[in-house]
Amino acid sequence: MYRREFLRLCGLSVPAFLLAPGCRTPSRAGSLSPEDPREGLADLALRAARRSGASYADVRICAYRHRDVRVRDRRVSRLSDSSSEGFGVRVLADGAWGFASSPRLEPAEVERVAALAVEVARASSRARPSRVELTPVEAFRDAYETPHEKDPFEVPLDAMVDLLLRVSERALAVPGAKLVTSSLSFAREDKLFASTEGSRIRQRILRCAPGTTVTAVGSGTSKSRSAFVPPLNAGYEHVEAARMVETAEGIAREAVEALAAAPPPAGRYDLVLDPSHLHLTIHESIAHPTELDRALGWEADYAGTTFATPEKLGRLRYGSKHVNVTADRTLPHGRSTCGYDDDGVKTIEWPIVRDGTFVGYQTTRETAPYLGQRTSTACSYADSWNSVPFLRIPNLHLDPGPDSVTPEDLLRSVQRGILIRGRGSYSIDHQRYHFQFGGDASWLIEDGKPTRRLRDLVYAANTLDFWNACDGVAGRAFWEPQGIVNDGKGQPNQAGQQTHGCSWALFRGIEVSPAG
Amino acid sequence: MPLPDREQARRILERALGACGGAEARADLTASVSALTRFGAGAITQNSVRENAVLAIEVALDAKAGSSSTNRLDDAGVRACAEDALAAARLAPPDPEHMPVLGSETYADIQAFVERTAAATPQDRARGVETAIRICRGSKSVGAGTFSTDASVQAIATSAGLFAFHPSTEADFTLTARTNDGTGAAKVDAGGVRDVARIDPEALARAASERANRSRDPKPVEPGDWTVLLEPMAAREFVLLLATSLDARDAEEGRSFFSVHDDPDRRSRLGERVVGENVTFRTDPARPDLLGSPFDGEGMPVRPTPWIEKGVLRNLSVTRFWGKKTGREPTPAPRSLVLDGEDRSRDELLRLADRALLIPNFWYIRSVDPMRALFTGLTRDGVFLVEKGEIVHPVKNLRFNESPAVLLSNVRAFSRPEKLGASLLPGILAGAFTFTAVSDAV
Repeated sequence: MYRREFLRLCGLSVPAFLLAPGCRTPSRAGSLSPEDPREGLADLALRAARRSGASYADVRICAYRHRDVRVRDRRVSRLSDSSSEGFGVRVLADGAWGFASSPRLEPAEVERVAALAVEVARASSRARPSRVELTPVEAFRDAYETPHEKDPFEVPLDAMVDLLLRVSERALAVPGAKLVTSSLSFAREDKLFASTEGSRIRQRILRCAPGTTVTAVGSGTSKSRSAFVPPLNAGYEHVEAARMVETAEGIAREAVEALAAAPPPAGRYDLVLDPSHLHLTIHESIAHPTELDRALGWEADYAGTTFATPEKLGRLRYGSKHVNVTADRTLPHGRSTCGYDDDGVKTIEWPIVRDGTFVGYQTTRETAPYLGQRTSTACSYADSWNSVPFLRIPNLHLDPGPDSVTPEDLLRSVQRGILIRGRGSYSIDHQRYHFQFGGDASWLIEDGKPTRRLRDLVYAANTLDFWNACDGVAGRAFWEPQGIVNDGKGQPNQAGQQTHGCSWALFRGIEVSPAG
Repeated sequence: MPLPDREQARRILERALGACGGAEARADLTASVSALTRFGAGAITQNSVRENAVLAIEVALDAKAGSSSTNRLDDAGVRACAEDALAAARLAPPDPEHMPVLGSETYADIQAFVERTAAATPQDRARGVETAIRICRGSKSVGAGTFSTDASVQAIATSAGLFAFHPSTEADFTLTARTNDGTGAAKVDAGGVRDVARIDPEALARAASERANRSRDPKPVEPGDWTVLLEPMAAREFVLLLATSLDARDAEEGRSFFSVHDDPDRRSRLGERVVGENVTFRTDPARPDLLGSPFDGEGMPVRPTPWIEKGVLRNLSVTRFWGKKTGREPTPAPRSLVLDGEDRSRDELLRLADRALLIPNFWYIRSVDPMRALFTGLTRDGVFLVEKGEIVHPVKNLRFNESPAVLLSNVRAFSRPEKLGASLLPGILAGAFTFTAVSDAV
């Protein structure tokens, strides 16, 4: 009986058009016109930067559009469109970085801002003991567009409102469900990148993020449960495949059920974690620690540093033999997927952990030379034309286990454990040693089967102990491209977005305690 | 790109309201020039001057609301923004919680713009950073941080005659010094001052690097309940979390720490003692040492408001809709917050500690149970054991699971409040703070 239930819940959030790692669809640039009037302004910026003394310059000219539809119970709480356009010029002068940006796409303004960027770079060189060195890069003239079927900005707003109101109706029909919030967020990001190294790259990224959260209120307590439809780079077909209305009732029921549940006694348990939970554990305990800028100390004032220091590359036993982790900015529909990064480097796939051993960092043109590497892994990203590009986490996933392994197999091997789904409370230290995580729905596992509901629990571990306790990963049929839309890093803070796909996985003997 | 002055801002907003064709509307303009020099591993890693101006329009047609925003402020851009907002409103169902836009209001005169800050150059910032990096290097540590100078304008107008305009500047300097051997760390934060002249990178760098060296080779202590001495930076990270629960609707609908579940005659804990009677927590934007915004995002005046007075919950924020529904005056959400302190220095506060952990900062705090205002997170940037008013030795970082309400129920003493960002917070000496695990992070 349980197999049917969890297969239903697996299937609810992963549209059929999504593919597990190893499968590929070609990118395309179908709706991008061959001529781009912004190229003249880009050339102007690069010439002005050169004239002012830049040894390198790039410019990103961008136009963004966002749509946000939100419903709270039977009320449309937000119906909003926003647009933002502008350009940012980044230069190297006297061996140091400068960046300046403006929303005014006018020739005189472009020249002023490019010269300002050089002035800023010259100031930077006061406190730059060694010159910035960049890995070589090929000059590209290319275009990329997120593969999609339906542009969400061409879908009528009333269809979106109607969908979310039906989600509310379905969820509020469950006795005990008191608050339903649902949302559809879309973005279209048009970007022209040009550099003094000869690249002219045009990209159009489409983003789509549906979400539903139901809160149940009981005597002295409230519990929330979210339907975790993955945020993806895709068109409106992702919303249509997500079955938001059909799944709302189940989400509401699970929120209400949690009111009557109890926390487990503190102790060590085997944990079975589903993708709607495990993706954030991967993000916090594998993706962040393997950022090279963090390892170099560049993020020490805010995001922190890492235990995964460069001398451990190729040596550190990060996890058990079941743990294989791959970074991939070409993953179909990944939130970080694009043709080229914001350094103008073509995106790739590469290993981070192989058979449990730490083998790879995330790098940019500026950071890769610190490892003696001649190529970047294309992890440069700025969240706006108005933001400075820097190293951001790419799509980074836990490879599926053998195809023969199912979630049922993992559960069957557990005598006393806990199944955790969804996102709850997440916290990890600034060097990524110690974490405490929780979900938004959990069940006790007894003799291989989930039995009663639990609530208010967290698990805590050292990152390496946790991943070395991994005792199985389900096969690709259960792999889901779950992901993040608001990964905070940088000063000022920039929002990163990435997909952290995974299958269900089993971890032995993890410390669990009642929350608080 | 110069920032718009009062009349320029008014004209932009009038154009926006005019483009709404007489519909009920509110237009907001936020313009900024933000400069930031960022450094890490002893060198400037990013250096930027970023300019933008964003117009947001919210329009209502018979209680059907739509909104749109743009940073194209020419006539075509403003018209397109208004048309998008109107198109959304036409498609929206009537909003049962819609409230008409505000009419003319009167605001406190808060002068938060300092020309010297707005005029700071990349060279000014680079000089400060160069000094800080040199001082860290000389004391066997490596500096990472930021030196920023921002100037901004916020303006709001409505079709009912409201106009609000507030220019401000902010300068900040943050620095984390990590010792060369990687076993010690400390952070300083100049607090987000209005006047850049109040920032002394040299003194801040000396303080951070000296403290980082004192924090080397920390020893573990047993987790459990500890008396803690939170420095203002830690107080900001933790205490202000309680402000997120100060919402009347959340409380009265049973979803908050301030909800009442066992008395059908009471909708919330208003009037109840919720923390220690030595705690007073208020909004006070016009204080000279704070200089916050005189209005909120809708244009409602932000007036001095006690939230918790001598431990008693005096106010919850009330939206205009919730105020109308429940027959109360609206109260803007908490901002420009002040936690009252006592007239003593941080050093004097430390001398009051018999046995305590000195906590400079917290990190990665997340809610565990909103009903109990329970949070988890970790200490960061150099923890010390204090005995009999003296620092004894550095201590390894710890994870806590604790509530700010519990902390504020156990306060023994405060120091004087200090400005940190948009708030004023004192150091806090408090008992029985619950730590649950040790972290190896430095």
